[in-house]
Amino acid sequence: MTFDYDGYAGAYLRVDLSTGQIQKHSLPSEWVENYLGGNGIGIKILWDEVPETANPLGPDNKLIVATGPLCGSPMPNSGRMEFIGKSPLTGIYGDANAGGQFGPELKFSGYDVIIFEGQASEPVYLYINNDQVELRSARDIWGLGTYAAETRLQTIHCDPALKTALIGPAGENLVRFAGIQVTYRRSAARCGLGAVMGSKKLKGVAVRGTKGIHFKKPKVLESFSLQMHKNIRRNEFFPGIQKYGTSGLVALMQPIGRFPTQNFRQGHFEEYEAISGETLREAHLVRDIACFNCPLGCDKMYSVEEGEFAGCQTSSVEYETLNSLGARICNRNLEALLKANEMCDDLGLDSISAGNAISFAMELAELGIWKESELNGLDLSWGNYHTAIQLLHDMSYRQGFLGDLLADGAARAARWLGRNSERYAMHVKGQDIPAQDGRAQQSMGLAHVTSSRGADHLKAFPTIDETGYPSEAVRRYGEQYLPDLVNPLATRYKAMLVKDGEDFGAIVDSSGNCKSGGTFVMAEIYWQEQADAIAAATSMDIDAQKLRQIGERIYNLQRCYNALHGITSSDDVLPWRFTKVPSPSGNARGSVCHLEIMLPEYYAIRGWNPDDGLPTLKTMQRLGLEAEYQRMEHAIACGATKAARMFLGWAAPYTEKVEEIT
Amino acid sequence: MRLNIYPERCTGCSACEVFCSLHHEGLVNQELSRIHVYRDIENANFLPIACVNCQTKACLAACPEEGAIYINHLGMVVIEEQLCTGCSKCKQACEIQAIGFYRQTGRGKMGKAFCFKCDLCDGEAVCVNVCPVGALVLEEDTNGDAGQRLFETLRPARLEIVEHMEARGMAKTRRVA
Repeated sequence: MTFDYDGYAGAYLRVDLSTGQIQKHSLPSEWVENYLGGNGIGIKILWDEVPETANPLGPDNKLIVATGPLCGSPMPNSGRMEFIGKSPLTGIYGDANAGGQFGPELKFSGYDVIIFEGQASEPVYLYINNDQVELRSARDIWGLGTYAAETRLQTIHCDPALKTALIGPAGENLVRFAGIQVTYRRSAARCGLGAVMGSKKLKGVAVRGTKGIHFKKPKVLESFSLQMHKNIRRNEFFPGIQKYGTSGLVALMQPIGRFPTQNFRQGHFEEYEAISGETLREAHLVRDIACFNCPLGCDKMYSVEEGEFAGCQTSSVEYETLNSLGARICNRNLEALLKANEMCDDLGLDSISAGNAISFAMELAELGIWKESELNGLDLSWGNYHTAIQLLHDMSYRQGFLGDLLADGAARAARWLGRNSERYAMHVKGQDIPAQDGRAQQSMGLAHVTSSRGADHLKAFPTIDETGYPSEAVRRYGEQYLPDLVNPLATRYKAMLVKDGEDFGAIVDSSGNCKSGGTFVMAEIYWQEQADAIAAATSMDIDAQKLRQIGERIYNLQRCYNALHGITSSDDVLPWRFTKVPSPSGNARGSVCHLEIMLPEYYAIRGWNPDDGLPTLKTMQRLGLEAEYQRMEHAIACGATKAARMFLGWAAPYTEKVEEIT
Repeated sequence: MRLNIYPERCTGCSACEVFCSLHHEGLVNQELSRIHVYRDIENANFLPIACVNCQTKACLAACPEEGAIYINHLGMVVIEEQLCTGCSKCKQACEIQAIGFYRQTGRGKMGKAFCFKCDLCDGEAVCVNVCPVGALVLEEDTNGDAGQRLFETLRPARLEIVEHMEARGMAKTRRVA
C-alpha cells in the first residue's frame, strides 16, 4: 500500500518497546483525509488503540509523536509538532505541542508519525537517521538533564544537526506534569506526557533526516507562503511580538486584571514591572532565536550575568512562566525566575503546573493546613523563591514529603491530602489553570472548561477579545458582532468564538503550524488560507468547508474520548474563585466568569446534549462518527465510563463559595 | 550584485534555507539549500553562509571541467549542474564552504552527484525576500571589494563555530567539517 499525498512524508513507525520491534508502515489515507495529521491522527489512534481501562503510566498507554501536512513546509511557523497520549495528570485525552526543529526533521527523515507502545525493561532511545531506525540503550544518558542529554547524543552521533525530543529527571521519576524537551529547548510540556515516556523507559528520540519533503504544487506554495510571511511581517502586532514574544503580555494583562497573582486570588501584581517583558529584554537578552521557518522569533535567549544566579542561561521565557513562577507565587525576583525557567527546561517540567503546585502549597501554608513535620524546614511564605527553586528540584526527583506529593499535581495532591485543600487547587479536569483569568476575559473562562485536555487557553485560544482587537475581529467574523465580541467582559458571542477557535485550533495543531504566529494572535491565516496552503502542499481535495468539518470531527472525537472516561457536563466547571468571587483587579473589578450563560449556548452551537454535554447522535452522524457514537453510548450504558471515572485520581474543582482571607 | 550578510541579526529560523531549496529544487530540504545557517546554540551564535562574491574566486580556478562553472551577467559565479561531475574541488577550494554537494543516487560515476551554489535567483533572491530580520540583504556591487571584506569576516567566524563543534566532539558532519 502506498500513500498518495504529497506534503506528507507518507510513512509512520510503530515501535513496540516491550519487544523492541520496529515496524514501518505507509500512512493510511483515511487518517489524513478524515483527521489531517497532528492531534487529529493522534486522537484517532488513541480512540482506536488505547481503551478507557488503560493506565496512563502503564504499558497499555501509547505515546504518539505526530506532525502534519504543513510541518516543514514553507508556510510561516511550520515547525510545530504534537505529542499525544492519555495524560497521567488528567487521566483523559492529553496532547502537548512544541516548536523548535524536531518536527520538520522527523518529516525530512521520512516519517510523519511515531507510535510508541509497551514498556522497555531498560532505558532506551530511538535513533532515526533516514531509513536507519533503531532502539539504542540510553543507560549513559538516563538521569541526565535535557541539556546535557541532548549534547551527549549529538556527540555520540557526531552530528550537531541531530534533533532530539527528550525527557529530563522529572519524566524519568514519573512526575505527572513532566514535559518533553525538543531541540532547541522548546517544551511540549502540558499533560505530563514526559511521564508517559518515563514510564516506558524511553529517554527520547534522536532524529536526522536529509530526504526533504515534496509538495504537489511547489511554485504555488512558494509564492503563497512568501505572501503569508510578508503579511505577518506587515501585521500591526508583529513588531511587539517579535521584540518581546509572549513576555510582552505581562504589561498588557496587568491593567485589565488578567494577570493572576497569589494562586489566582488577584488579577494584578503590584510589582509586575520587575518581571515584565520590557525589563526582561532590557536586562537579560542575549539573542533573538526563532523556531523553524518562523518570522517572529518569539523564542529568545536570556542570561543572568551577576548575583546569586549568575551563569544561568535560558531561552523561551514565556508569559505563562513569568506568571506561574512569578506573580502566581508573588516572586518579583527576575533572576530567580530565569533560573526557575532554566531548571524547568533542564529537569523537564511543565512550568505552568509546577508553578501552580507551588502556589497551591504556599496558600495552604498561609492557611496553616500543612503540619510542621511535612514541611521539612521549607519556608513556604509567598514570594520565597529559594523555596520555589528547591521545590522544583524536589518535585523532579520526588524528594521529601512535599516534593513527592506535589509531583502528582495540585489536584491529585489535594485529593490525597484532604483537609479542605481541594479548595485551593486551581484546576479543571485535573489540569492546572494557566495564567488566563476567566473573570477578566469571559471567553477564556469558557475555553478552560470546554478544552479537551483540561484547563487550557490554547485549545480555543480566544485572543481577539483579550484586550479588544476590533480589526482582527472584523476580518474574521464581520462587523455584526461588535462591540460585544471584542469586549472581554461581555458574554455574548463568546460561545461562538470559543467553538470556532477550538475547531480552527484543532486544524492548526493537526497541520503543524503555530497558534502564536499568524493564525490566532495575528489573524492573517484563517480557514481559507489554511485550506489553500494544505491544498497546494498535498493536492488533497480540500476547501475551507471541508477543513471546518475535519476540525469539528477532531474536537468531537476528543470530547467523546473524554466521555469514555466518565467526563460529562458536570466536569465543565471552574473553581469557585472564578465564578463566585468578584475579581478585585483592574478593569475586571467586580466581575465573575458567567459560565452559566455561555456554556448552554456553547453546547447548543456544538450540537451537544444540554444535559450531559456530550455530542448527540445527529452531530456525530454529520461528522461521520456514528460508530464512535455507538461505542460511547455503549460504554455509558454498561457503566464502563463510571468505572473509568473513578481512576482519574484528582479531586474535583471546588465550586462553592469560600470566604477569602485578605 | 551581491549578497550582504549580517550574522548578528540572524535568528536561525531557516526560512532562507527552506525557500532556497524549494525555489531551486522544488522541495524543502535544507541539505539542498544554497545558503546554510551554522548554528551554535550554546553560544547563541548563528552564521548564515552563502556565496558573497569574493574577489579570489578560488572555486573558478579549481574546477577541472570546461564550462561547468562561470561568471554570469550579475557577476555571480554559477555552476552549470548539467556539466558538473560532482568532483567537489570547487567546494573544497571555497574557504567559507559556500558551495554545497549532493549525491542523489548511487556512488561514483554510476550515480548522480553535483555541486551547487547561490546564483541570487537571477537577481530576485528568495532568501532575501523571506528573511524576517534583514540578516540577508541584496546590494549593488558598487565598491568592488565589499564582497571580499565580508568574506574575510565570515571565514574566521565560521572556523570559530566549527572549532567549537570539534571541541564538543561533534564535528564529523556533512557540512560543518
